[in-house]
Amino acid sequence: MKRQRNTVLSIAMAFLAVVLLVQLWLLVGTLEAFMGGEGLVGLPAALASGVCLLIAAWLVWSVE
Amino acid sequence: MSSEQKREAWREDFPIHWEDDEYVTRREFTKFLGLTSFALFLGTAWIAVWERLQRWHPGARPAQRIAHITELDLGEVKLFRYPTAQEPCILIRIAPDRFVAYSQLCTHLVCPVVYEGEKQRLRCPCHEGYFSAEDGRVLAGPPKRPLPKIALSVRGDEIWVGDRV
Repeated sequence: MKRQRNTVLSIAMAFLAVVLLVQLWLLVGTLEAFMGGEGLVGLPAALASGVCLLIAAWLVWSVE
Repeated sequence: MSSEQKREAWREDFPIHWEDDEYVTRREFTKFLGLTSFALFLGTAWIAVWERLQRWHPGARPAQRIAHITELDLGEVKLFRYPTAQEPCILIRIAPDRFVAYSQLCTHLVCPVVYEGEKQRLRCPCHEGYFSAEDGRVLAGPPKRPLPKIALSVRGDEIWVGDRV
């Protein structure tokens, strides 16, 4: 049972790492576009980052 | 008080071992990752809000006289600062009847660019970045974004920048 919990925790952390990488990519891309004055990409990027945050929050809550 | 009793008193005051104090459980680390996710979301949302605010309230750019047409021969440049004294720009006469102006700061790491008239391009000497003098697009090198273009207006025999004259 403990081994199973460990596996679940490891998988959750791996997913979290992927979600964070996606969020980091969104942040850097948004900043690049903003600095370059390339249209309005901030809102869709913020929405996507918000979805990632919800997923991350759910993962954190699920391992509690 | 014996030395053994002293040792026990010390243990009561500091009951956590040094190794245990440094130890971070995977659950705690997961919480930290959750907070990092929130911080990344905040950063992206802040840029989105800032972008919208700038779109709704674009600051009026003060008009500024840059040069008289006769000041520059073909292929010559004039440096000026706009809209603030901290923002160097470059005015170029690329054709007898055509002037262009760009921010002089390279979009890679903000080194000042110089004009190479014979090749009709702007060069950043720091990391060999090249921009087209026609429209500021990147020709080669590490920069990813074009040089910001400064809108010019010719009024009579004078070249101006800015919203109002």
